[in-house]
Amino acid sequence: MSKNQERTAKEKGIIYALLLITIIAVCVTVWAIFFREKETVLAPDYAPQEEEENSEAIPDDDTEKMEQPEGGGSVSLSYSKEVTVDLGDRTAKLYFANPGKSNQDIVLQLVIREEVIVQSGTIKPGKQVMNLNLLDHKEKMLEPGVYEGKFAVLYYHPETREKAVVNTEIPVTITVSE
Amino acid sequence: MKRIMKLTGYLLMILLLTMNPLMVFAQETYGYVVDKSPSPVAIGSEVTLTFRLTDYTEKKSGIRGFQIDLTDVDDVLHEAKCTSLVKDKENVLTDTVKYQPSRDIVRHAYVKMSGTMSYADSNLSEVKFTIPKTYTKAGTLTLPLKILIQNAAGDKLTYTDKIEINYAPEGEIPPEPDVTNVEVSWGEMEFEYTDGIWNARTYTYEGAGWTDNGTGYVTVKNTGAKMTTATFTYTSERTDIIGSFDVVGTAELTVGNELTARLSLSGKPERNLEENTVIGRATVTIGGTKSE
Repeated sequence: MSKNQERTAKEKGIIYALLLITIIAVCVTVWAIFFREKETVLAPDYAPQEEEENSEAIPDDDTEKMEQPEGGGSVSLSYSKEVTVDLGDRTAKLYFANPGKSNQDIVLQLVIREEVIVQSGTIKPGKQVMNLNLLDHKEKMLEPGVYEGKFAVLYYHPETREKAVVNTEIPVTITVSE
Repeated sequence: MKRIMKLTGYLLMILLLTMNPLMVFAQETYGYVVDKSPSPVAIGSEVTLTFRLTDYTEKKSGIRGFQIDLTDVDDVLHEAKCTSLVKDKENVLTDTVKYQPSRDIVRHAYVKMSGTMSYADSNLSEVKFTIPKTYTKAGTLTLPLKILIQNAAGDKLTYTDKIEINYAPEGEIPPEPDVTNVEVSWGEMEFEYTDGIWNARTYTYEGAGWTDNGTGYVTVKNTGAKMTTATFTYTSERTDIIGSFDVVGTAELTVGNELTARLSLSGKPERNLEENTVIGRATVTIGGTKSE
């Protein structure tokens, strides 16, 4: 084989190797963006920076703030114990309000069999939620039917964002549909 | 060789653009929501749209000005009541929210002559309008939305979106959910352990134990219209310290009444505790089954 032919063969080899590396890199990127399973978010020790995007202002909510024990906390809660989960939309329809007279921010979890399937962003005083999104891949653990679960209500100081040492649990009935 | 260098250059560019799925672009972004109340709304009734930012904090570049354009559909916005909710009026060139017939939009324009909008302002504007009585069946009214923001860093951002308002005849609006209302309050839960005072006669420490100065309590009040129940549990984060509430089991909580449970701790800490160490957590379960 002449020197030119050898050089051409070598160049081809290098080109193929570079192309292969590029294809692998693109595949890894596509996997990382679209297919990588995300870990479950545990109950945060500090309130999430962002408010829950599905929270809305509570209509006609203009009551005075509750008295807050020094160093402690006080909240008012309004909720319905019936929840419906739509596996197709990956949403939970519920009713949970943190009236304006509360003195704590709230993070709301929906728990089935000790597994957190929904976790809200921060729900500030004066806000309510009626729809929350399921956490990634949680629809896979559910089938249509009725489940007994609970709300886990976590409280956070509105300024320091630290989690309170008191939390609330509320048994709820969850109806899951396709 | 030149061909290889060229190709390597192209491939390197592809690698740089694709290998970093977390690439951060320099431009600032702002989160926003549009609250709709009520939802769904009855035909012939008023709906309120509230525009607000969700993450406008000191970590973001200050906003010099913004413009919110809500496009009219079916003439619903002709007589809309529009209000600016921005409280920062210092050095403001314009802060107007109104329906503009020539453009067929409701526009909120806010511009500062100098400085940026206060970080305390996250509520921007409110638009109220009535769902036309000409609608006869349940449906969704979709209003196109455009938001323009200019910040102190010179970024000019544009967000386009659609606001979907669900409406239905009055008789088809789902009933209000069966709602429970309670209030929960708690003390500082600050406990201190003391080894007690040495008694030279009995050669023992007396008075050892935990004190809380009256801060170790949780109160639940039933502010709803139906009876509910409350259960108080303490979960220790240490094996050397245990605790329990003086309300044992599940207690009934009738309408208008409140119940206070006090926490007591026992057990000597195996090692010194730093101030403000969290040693356990209290859980109030509301609405469980009453135990016999």
